[in-house]
Amino acid sequence: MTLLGVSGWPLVMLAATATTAVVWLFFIRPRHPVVVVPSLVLWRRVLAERKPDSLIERLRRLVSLLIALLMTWLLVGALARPERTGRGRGPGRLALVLDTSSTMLTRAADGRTRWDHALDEARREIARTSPASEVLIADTGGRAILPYTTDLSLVRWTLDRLAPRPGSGVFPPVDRAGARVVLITDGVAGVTPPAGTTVVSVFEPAINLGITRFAVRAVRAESTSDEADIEVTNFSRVRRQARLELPGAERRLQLAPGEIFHETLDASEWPEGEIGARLEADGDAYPLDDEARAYVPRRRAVRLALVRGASRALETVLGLMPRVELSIVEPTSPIRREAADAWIADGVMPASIPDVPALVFTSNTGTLAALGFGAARPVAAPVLDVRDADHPLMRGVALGDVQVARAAVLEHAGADARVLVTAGPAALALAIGRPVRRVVFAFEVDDSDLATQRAFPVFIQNAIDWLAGEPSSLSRPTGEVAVSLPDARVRAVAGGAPVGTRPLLGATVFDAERPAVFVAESGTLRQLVVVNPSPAASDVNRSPLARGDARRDRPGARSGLWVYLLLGSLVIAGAEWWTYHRRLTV
Amino acid sequence: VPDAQALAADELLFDAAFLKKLEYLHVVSRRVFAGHFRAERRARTRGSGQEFADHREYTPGDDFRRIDWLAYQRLERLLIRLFEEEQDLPIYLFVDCSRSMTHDNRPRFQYGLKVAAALCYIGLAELDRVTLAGYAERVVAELPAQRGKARILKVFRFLGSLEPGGATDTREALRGFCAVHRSRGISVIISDFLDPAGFERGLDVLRSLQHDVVAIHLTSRTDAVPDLRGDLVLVDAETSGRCEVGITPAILAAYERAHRVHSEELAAYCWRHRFGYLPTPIEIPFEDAILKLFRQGRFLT
Repeated sequence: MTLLGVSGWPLVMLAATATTAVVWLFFIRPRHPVVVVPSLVLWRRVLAERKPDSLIERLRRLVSLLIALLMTWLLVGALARPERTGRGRGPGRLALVLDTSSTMLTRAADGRTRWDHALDEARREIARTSPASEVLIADTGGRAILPYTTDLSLVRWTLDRLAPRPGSGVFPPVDRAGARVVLITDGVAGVTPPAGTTVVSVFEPAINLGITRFAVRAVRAESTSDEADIEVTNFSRVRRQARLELPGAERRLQLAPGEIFHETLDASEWPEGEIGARLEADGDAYPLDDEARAYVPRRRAVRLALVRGASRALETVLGLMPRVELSIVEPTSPIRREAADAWIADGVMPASIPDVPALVFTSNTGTLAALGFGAARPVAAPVLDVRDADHPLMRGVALGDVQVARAAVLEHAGADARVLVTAGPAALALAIGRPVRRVVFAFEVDDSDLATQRAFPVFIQNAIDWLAGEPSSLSRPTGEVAVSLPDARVRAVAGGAPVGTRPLLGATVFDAERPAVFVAESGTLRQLVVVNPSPAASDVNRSPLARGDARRDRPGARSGLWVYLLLGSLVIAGAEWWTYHRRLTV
Repeated sequence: VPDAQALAADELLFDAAFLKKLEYLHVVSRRVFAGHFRAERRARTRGSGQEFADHREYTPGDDFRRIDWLAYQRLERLLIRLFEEEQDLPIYLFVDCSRSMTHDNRPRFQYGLKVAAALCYIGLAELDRVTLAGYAERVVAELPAQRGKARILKVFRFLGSLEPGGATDTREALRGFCAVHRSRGISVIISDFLDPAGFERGLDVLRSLQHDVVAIHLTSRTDAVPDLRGDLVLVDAETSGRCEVGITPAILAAYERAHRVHSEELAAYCWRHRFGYLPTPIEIPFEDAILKLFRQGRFLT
């Protein structure tokens, strides 16, 4: 309970003072009017007859005093504007958590965004506090923007500089001791506040049509053909018309509520590199998903030389890979860089190790020694443990369940190698970046069930992309983007200055608030990242606050307790008036 | 009399027509009292009136002119003819001058004065001996017995000189009044009968002296149904006694009941002792009270 945001002591002092004043006024109140009557003969007779009620007559004054005191206490309580502040009690602390998810940029019917309304609500909350109150500002990005402070000008300054950021919503850790915690949100991000949090809703239904999927992929059967998937969803509650612009194409759409437009287009003629799609819809309230980006990869096929004697499964997979020109070479035949972008060997090694990127499966310690791993030793039935799941080679791949009958372990991986899989403390698979990219597995394909794994073709594709130096692009939603490259430089493919990054546990994190294609480079490693809005964020009407089943504080209801106290005092005043005029009270 | 009528019209608002009507009225006494002067009222005593009453044996010293010679011839006895002597009626008018009569701008007191004046005029016109007395805790003023309409001016002046004040003590006032010898007659008490000691004690004084008592009970609607509400301090107009009362509907109902019981008790007392009782609401016009109400109560004929 707070007294105008200060503490309970002033409330006690005010109540005591008011009680004293009421009691004093009760006893010094004006005397009853004097009325002269002809005689008291009959009045005394009447009063004598009513003697049995004398106890009640005496109680009337006491009841009246109690009613007056009760009214006073209720009014004092209402003036104190009591509000629940959670489990703890403190001198007026307010923790304001603002939902900074991208859907807060949705425009409301009045033309202002939900974020603008959220700022208004925040300022109202701050205005209700007393100057001695401590206010904390945090956002659902999980960061405490401003710790508890009594400097309200700093609080307002901070609020003015807050802005929605794409990304998932997470309720930040907030010191709730003695604080009233208020979350201002539209509810779309699904932020789950802790119990006792006051949720202020700024949700309002809105019209939105958005591009929920846009991607370009190679046609497997043809080395130079691409196709694009485009998907547009109407998240509105009304039928809407829209115009979709694509590279060299345009679509007129008319979508019913909830309807999804999907089309696969031939993208063979689209230029390589970054491309975009744009959507225009009347009354669209959420602009962030009206644009999407994709990356058209280089259309030249990768030339692979597979040393004869490899696993049949491996040979089959390579033969099915799109944009791969596979040639089977004899172990004795030299592999030249001009003829092959990479070579692959499984068990049987070429006579001489070419200076070309390679994918090697071998448990032969001699071969491993020739590849630079002299300390290799055989091992039977090792238990695999994936060490570097974020490496481009391991994207979409799970090798933890692979059973290996016979292998060799590498005691020293080398400075330029990244261990992908281990068997105990020793490495079992690794990727070498310099001087020539090589992926080495210390077991043969047929000595394991790797080829039967569903991830096997994916891994082989990852390996070819990595060895050929043409990485397949990553798709990430807008917001905070992490790439598995340490200390990477990130820039937009379309040009411009490098974007700001920060390291995070061996990865590099950067913020992407708009759809774009980025390239992250760390040494010889390179990663393309296509950033588009999250389809989940496009459904700006999917909020629990829209159904009214979540607490939604209104200006009147948020301070409901003092309203109830005021109503209570008015009811008692009415009852006192009623009883007074019937002489039940004095 | 014209002067008296003019004064009455000025001071007591009696117009000439009303006074003329009064002259046709006279006070009815349920008993026959002995008067001092021959008047227009029969007395028990036999005297020199016009109406034959009886015979009696002649005794020496009787006026021989009254011997009935026809009876002597027929009966051979000397008989004296007796005639009923018409005597005046002693009327005592007591006007309550206590402060309770002056409540609410004195309408009850004024009304009582008018009633007293009218009755007095009736009595004087009948050649009755009318004695007027104003009383509160005691008799505050007295106009000795007056007789004849020519005295009405003096009566009006006396009534006009009465000033209300003091508390009601009917018993002490009447005892003081009767301490000197008074012939028995009609005692008319014009009062609200709100005597703290009880109206019975006062009326008992007259009852013990065998007066024919008529109680004219002046009531008002504001007395019966007081327009009071809220918590009040009631102050007795006579004694200045105070009483704090929270006026509730139940209290008001109880008071109205007490007022009604008070009137009923007074009426029952008068009926029990063959007194006249004339409840007179002051809201009805004064002329109606005299010409209708009192006649209906057989106080006037």
